[in-house]
Amino acid sequence: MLLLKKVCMIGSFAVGKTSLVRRFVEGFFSDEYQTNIGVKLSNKEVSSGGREIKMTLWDIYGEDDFQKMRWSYVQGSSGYLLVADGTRAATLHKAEELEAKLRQEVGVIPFVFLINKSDRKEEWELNAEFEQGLVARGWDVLHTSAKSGEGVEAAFAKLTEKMLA
Amino acid sequence: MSSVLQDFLREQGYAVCEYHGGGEFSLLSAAPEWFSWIWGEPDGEKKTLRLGDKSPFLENFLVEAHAFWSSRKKGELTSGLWVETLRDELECRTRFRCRRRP
Repeated sequence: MLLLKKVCMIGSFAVGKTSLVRRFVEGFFSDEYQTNIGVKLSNKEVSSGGREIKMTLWDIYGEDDFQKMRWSYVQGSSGYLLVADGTRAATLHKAEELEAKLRQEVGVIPFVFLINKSDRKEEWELNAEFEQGLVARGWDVLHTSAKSGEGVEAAFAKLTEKMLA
Repeated sequence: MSSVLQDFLREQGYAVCEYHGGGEFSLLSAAPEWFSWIWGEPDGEKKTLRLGDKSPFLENFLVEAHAFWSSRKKGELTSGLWVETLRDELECRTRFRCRRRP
């Protein structure tokens, strides 16, 4: 039996949510940046632990000072990927804020925190203590690159595993 | 609805539907082309469409819409923008507006 799971992509603008979805669903990366001004849905079927899962990925526009998240989008989600850009420290802190807000709005649901753009690690503004602090709080933190593909499959696999647990 | 108004709405890219409950809608005016790309043509004797079945986004918005219709609020409730990829990378950007019949 096919299990249906709604998965949201959450994070600040331009952290790479759309590129991660494209890499995962279509297997490619484009340097061309397109601001997401709405919600884009994609489907992907995966197998985990002998079960077939159809994921509907909700790629939601990035929250910033000018555009706030519409929390109703997250209702009914089985899990989410929280995404930050390792080259912009502000997006890491914004991710913490979004996680707290999400917990308040929809309760505790499985998530994995992705620090994206690992192909540009020399530019990262990530503080090792900050990451260790999140891990100590029980967060699953993965480094990903939509450009090289590093960690992308693993991120979705980890979230799937958590959603099925 | 007058045919002039129907033509105008279709030209502007609007599809006007009435909600009958249980996920079923009927078209109140001839729909623009993009509408049938996503939802096809109404079928059955009742000429209704289950729009939420092909749009999880609309299905989600209907939860808010029900709350709006059940409330005494005036005006309209607007959804965010939903981007549907059709064929050959063609994207359709749709926004839903719900109102009460006067």
